[in-house]
Amino acid sequence: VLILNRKVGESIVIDDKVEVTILESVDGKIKLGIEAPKEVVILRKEVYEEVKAENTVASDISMEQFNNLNKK
Amino acid sequence: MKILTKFFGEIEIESENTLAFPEGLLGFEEEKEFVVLPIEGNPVFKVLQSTNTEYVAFVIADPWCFYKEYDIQVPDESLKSIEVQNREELSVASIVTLADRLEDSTVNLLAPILVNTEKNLGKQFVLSDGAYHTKHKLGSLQAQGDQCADS
Repeated sequence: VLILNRKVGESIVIDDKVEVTILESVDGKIKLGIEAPKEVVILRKEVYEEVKAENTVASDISMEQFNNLNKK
Repeated sequence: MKILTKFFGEIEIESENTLAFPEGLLGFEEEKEFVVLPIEGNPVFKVLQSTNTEYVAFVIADPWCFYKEYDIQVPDESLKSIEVQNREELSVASIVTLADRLEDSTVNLLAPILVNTEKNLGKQFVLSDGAYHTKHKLGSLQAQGDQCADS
């Protein structure tokens, strides 16, 4: 892991195309500004983890649960 | 080709019916190829089955069967990644998480499956607008689903 110290108003540039700027820091909450090309997908990690977890649960259904789809 | 499936045992599929998912699904990045299988007697739901891993299969459905007002914006860049050039090539499905009772089952509207039906290319797309989540109840909306199956 690369660790950098940044102050409010300072930025980092990733791979020449993504710029992350520290906009504000209040009570341990950091506000980031991200400038990136449109094709770069930016998600909060918890959203990503939520979808991953839901996929895992969705793939883990039993034959009994599946058979409910045929009961009318 | 013959494949092993989670719900239907060994079945024969046509290789031209397989869908390539170059990025896999979230949490299933190694699964690069799926096939959509119908469920006999229930046209609302289908199975998205991995062609390589027997136990990896998802129940999917047309989200508009349950949520008529479902409104998603897919950026051009994401459409490009599955080579979609016009709307007719794009099919949208949602993954359903089945519970012990069908009415407790949920549908994931946050991360729909996008498929280019012409090129047989698919991907899971995570919406960023915050209006949807992964567990919308099927429950009372089942009636709408039945209508959807009839049409």
